Amino acid sequence: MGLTSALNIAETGLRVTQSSLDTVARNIANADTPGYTKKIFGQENIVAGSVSFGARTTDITRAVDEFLQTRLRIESAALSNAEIRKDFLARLDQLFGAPGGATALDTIYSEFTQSFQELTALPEQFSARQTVISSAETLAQQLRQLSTEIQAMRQQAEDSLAQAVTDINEALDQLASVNQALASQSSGGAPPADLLDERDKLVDQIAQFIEIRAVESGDGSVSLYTGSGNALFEGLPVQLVFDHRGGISAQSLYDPDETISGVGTVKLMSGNGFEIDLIQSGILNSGRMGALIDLRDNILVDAQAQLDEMAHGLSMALSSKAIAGTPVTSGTQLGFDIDTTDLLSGNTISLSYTTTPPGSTQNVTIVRVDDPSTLPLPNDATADPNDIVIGADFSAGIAAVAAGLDTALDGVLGAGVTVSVPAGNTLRFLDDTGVGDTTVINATSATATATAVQDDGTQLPLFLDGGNSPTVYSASLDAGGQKTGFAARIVVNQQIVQDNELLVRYATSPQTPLGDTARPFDLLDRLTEQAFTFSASSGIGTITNPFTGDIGSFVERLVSFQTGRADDAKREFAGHDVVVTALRERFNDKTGVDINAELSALIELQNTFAANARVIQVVDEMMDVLFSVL
Amino acid sequence: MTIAPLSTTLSLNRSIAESRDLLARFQEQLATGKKVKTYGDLGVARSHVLSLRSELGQIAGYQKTISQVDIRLDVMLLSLERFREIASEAKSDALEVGFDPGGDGQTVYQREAAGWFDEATALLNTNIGDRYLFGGRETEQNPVLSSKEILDGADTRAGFKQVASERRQADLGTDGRGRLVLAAPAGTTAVIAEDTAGSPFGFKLNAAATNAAGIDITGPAGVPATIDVDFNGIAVNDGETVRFTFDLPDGTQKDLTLTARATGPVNPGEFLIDADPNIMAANFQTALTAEIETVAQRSLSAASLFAATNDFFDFDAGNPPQRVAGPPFDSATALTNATATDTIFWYQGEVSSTPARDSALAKVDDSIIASYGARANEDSFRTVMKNLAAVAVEIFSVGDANASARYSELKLRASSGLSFAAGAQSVDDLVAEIVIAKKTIDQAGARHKESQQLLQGFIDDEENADIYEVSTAILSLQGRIEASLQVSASLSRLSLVNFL
Repeated sequence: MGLTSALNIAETGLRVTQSSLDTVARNIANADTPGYTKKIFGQENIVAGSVSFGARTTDITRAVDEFLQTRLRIESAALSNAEIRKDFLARLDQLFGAPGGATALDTIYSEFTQSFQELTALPEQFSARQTVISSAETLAQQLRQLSTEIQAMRQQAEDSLAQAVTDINEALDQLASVNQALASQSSGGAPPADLLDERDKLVDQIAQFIEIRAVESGDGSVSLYTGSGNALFEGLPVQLVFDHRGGISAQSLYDPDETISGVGTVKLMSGNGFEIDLIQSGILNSGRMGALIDLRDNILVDAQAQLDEMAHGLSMALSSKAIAGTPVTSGTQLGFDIDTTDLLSGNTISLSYTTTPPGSTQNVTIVRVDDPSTLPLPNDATADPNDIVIGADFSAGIAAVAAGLDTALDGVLGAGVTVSVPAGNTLRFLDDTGVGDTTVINATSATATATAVQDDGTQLPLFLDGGNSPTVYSASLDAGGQKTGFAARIVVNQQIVQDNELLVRYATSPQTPLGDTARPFDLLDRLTEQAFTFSASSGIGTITNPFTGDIGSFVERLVSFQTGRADDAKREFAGHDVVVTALRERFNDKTGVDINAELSALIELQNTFAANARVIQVVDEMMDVLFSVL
Repeated sequence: MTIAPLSTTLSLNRSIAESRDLLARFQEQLATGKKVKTYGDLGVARSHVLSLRSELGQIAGYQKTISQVDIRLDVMLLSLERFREIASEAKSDALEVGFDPGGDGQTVYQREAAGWFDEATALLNTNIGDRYLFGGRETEQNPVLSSKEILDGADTRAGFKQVASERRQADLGTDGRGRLVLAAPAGTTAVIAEDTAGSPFGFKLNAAATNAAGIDITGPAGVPATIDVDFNGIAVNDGETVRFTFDLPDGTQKDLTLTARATGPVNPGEFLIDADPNIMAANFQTALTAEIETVAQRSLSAASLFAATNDFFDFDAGNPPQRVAGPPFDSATALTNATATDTIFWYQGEVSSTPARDSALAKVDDSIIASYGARANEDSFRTVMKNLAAVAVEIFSVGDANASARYSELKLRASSGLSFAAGAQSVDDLVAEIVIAKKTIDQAGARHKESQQLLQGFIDDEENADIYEVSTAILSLQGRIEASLQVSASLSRLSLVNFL
């Protein structure tokens, strides 16, 4: 009590004001620094016993609304996810061209069909035939280019994933060191606010890539968990590992088995050797990484599959040849003979039969394969959901085929149908009329892919598979399936390019006159009238209800589907953008620096400082009075 | 109520940025006239626009076909019109009377016919672009050879004139009696017989009748056919007749009547009655022989020419033109197939049994395929060619007593042929069919034009930017942006810093 104590108290006041000024100055200086949270200086009364000895500063605290912060992180992850999708899909949208524009896929296909229409009217005109050839080449080239672009986007996604993994690893490293610093520095007291800011910045960065929850422990160090609860970072240092692949093509698809997979996968390696495959376990399904993986493995793969389906339909429609079954009788048994000489790998034989009881009709599709490792074939190997699919391995000779089919059909129908080889390459299917009377074969037919351009009917193998040494496209299921990536390899048959009269002349003896319209009309019919069933695995149509229509309608659906996705992605992004902006605004409101508040605090401090100084001055004057008395 | 400081009004910044983006897009719309740049921007109208465009594409294809085929049809109809004129002129001129051959042995009508034949071959060889229109599916080469080649032949191949001349020799026979054997009667029976069974040449005995009690007629019977005219001893009266009916090689018939006369001298076609049936039979046979020789030079000769036109001009894939098997031709007994090396095949277009109209098809709508093909060897064309050729090749020599009669026979047959018997295809029928095809095509064209306008209208509604709408939007947007910027300016001044 006394002058000295007042002096001391005023001194503490001055000290407090000075350090508060420090805080205010730092706040103002960092007003626009991203990630800086407003620091609030605290002061308390120094109480000893029951008397106050002045003021002192308490810990500088941050004003962070934890709830807002968590929500903001989650929404930022969603926003990054939507942004990546929007950007990639906008590129995809542009690839399909402006409506009615010359590079639009549907315009190119329409012109292709129109060129055949013209051919039917003017088959003898060189220019009409040449237009067909050039529009076919334009169509094939556009398909190839679209495929190249799509695969390039997948490669870009792969590259971005690699970059993202590097960035995350860096952030995790830094986070680990911040955590350590926090642990060592906070001995009892509150953790240093600026380190906490640093920590939050790193967590925010990581939150962009993948949706996470951050759990803070008492000393300020943080543990990260994914949205589904898996531990991402729990004090121990972790690394993400990504086996970056180059040269991604339509065949490079994701497989959980690393040795088979054509694209890389992200693994989490924790310090004690524990390893999780993040893609396989479905952990990476949000944020930037989730978007990149979804694009690389689903969205762009589907886009490629749809293009492949279109190329498949195009090629098969023009080149299929129907082979009729000839009815035969053997004793009391009835059945059909099919000549399989012209069947290529991937071609099919259809068998329709009725079982009594219960009198229902069933379809069996027998698919030729040349690679026994592809058997047994799943039922979705054909687009028709209502048929039973049986694979027949032709690599061991026709007799083995008959034996194998016999066994397989026994499994499906009991002993109702027998398969034999009466001669050459003919397969004979006999039912059991008069023997067991359980099955009656209604019809048998086969569809082969023609390889010859003349003297084989009016179909035409206009499109082939492959670059330098093109082969016939027969939708073969060997070696992973010929359909995958076909749109990237489709070419026009060079034989026809070099002699465009082949578009009209389908026979050599007698030679078809150039004014003959049989082949042009047939080809036009195949493109515009014949209904085709398209496999639902590409995303158009469903498995139980696949899309059936002519190729033109499929092209329309394709363009509509892909560009529609781009549109949806844009809307989604806009939606998330609004939410994130609103949240960020609220957050900045609460935790950002408000210059006006700081300035008013400054004025206050200035006054307080002046007041304390005045106190000291008064004490000084009082002491002077005292000393003058003595 | 709090006024948020400028630095924290993120949504204000965002909406200003958005408005500026929107302004830029409106400007672009104004410049390009289109609302959208990609299918994604079209929104839910996307699939509608896609299917509209696909339909438009199809219609454009049909219209291209229609315009091409229209040109062809117009050209075809022009040629067909002229062809019809020729046929009708040839028919009406055939009815003119008079026989006045010029120095070359042909009348004016015949020379006209030759000119028309030339023109007809040229018309049948009409082509447009690279396409010959009357050859069926054979569009690369002229369907009909030149008239000179057809009539006169070329290199080793015989033309029509040669084929006709050979046929005439075969039909008339070595003795000019039309391949009939008229031996002197042995006894009271005059026998008339065809010379060879199964031979297609010369007169064929169809019937014989008489109103004389003194004459018995038996036949025609037997192989080869024979007619016996027996004078049975009963008196034959003056004026009684024997009438023979002969079948001619071109399918027509000729009647020949012999009248009995009591007193001479007898005219051609009459025979002297005699009390002695043997002598009367001999008189009869002499008169008959003379008559037959005359008729051979007149009707049979003309019929032979027209039979030759059938031999030469009628052929299809399985039946080539027919030639007389020989030499020698005047005693030939059969026809033989011509080959491409020894005979001119006048038509080298498509030979097929499918309908001629279907040899050229045009798809002008989803389910409409117009048939507009034609072949130069269709019935109507062929008939006209045959008749013109027959009239054009016959040459009459000075001093030929039968020339005028033969010429009349010629004209008769020509005008009858060019009248197109009921049931046979006439040029008019053909023209009508082509006109119908053209009408179908034109109607389809008109329909497509309307559809096109309609569809384009729908598409424009979805895709095109309305200038007025866009300009208005830009103006209002401009106002909003100005207001926002004004607010931002005011907010920026609301800071304590400015007041300290």
